[in-house]
Amino acid sequence: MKIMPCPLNGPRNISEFTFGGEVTPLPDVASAPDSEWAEHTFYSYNGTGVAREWWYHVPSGYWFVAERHRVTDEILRTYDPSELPADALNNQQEAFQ
Amino acid sequence: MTQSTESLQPDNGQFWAEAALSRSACYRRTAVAQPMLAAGGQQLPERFDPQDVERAKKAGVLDLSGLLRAGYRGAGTPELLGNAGLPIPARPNLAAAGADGDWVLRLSNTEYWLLGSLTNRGETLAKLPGLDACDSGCLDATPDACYPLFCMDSHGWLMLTGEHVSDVMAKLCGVDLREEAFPLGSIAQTSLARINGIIVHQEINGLTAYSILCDNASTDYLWTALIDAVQEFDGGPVGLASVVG
Repeated sequence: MKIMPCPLNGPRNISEFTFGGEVTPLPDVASAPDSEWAEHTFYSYNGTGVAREWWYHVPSGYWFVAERHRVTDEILRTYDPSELPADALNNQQEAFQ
Repeated sequence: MTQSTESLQPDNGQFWAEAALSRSACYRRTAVAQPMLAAGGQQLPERFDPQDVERAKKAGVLDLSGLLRAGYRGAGTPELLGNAGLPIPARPNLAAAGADGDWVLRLSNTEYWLLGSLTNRGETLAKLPGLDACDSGCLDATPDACYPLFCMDSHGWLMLTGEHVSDVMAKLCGVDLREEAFPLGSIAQTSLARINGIIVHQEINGLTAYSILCDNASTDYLWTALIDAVQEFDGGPVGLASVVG
């Protein structure tokens, strides 16, 4: 079975985890138009490279961030959300290409 | 609760369901055991038969769901633990025993669960503030940024005891829970027997013991899974008296 290194609990079977989607910036709740919300809600990046994603360890109720390569499916790094770089929620696709 | 065990039984030796404040989710499995009461008035199995002690030394399964446990979350929790004279584990997924035999589990940076002492049947924890979920002022009773978690209502508590605990867990769980990888005071939050659980390595009166906390709704299932798993080690159900003497 594939093993995910959880930052809180250590290596665990992937069946203990739930995928939470890409780490993306939230549109401005006061002023974003519908098109921007549609983009945020329904579309995701479909290219190659490294993805920064939310993952959830179900037995401990813990959300964290994993960096995974979209081609090799290799998990490169996992860390607590408090360690997200300041610019992580802005222009993340550009930052990873 | 000062009620004695004797007064809880009618003439035919059966335990009145009404005598205890609450019962474990798997009370039907322990119905044949001699009952006793925890400090809060909940029902606990005291003794199954004279072989309890022998089974507890090999691979015993003990239902402690009636014993008090509590949780607190928030940055103010260490202050509450300090005021109560309880230890504060150094990092997440570590547990530490208090002077009265209570255990403090640190499940994340700011979340702590407390397991009542088997010796005094949870008396120490019963004095902690904010644990009455029916009390609308329960939040005012705790320090700032310290929020009670009512894990007694959400989780069941089973305990595996004896020399074969890690062999039993190897059949149920993918994480290495042998002594060298999972020393005394370790916590594993993981999947066991295909349900989610919190496993804590403890020692009770010199006896190796793994506490397992799982969702209340799964406790009855886990009891059957554990009883099945301990058969090959000549283990089985045990009462609290076999562990605390």
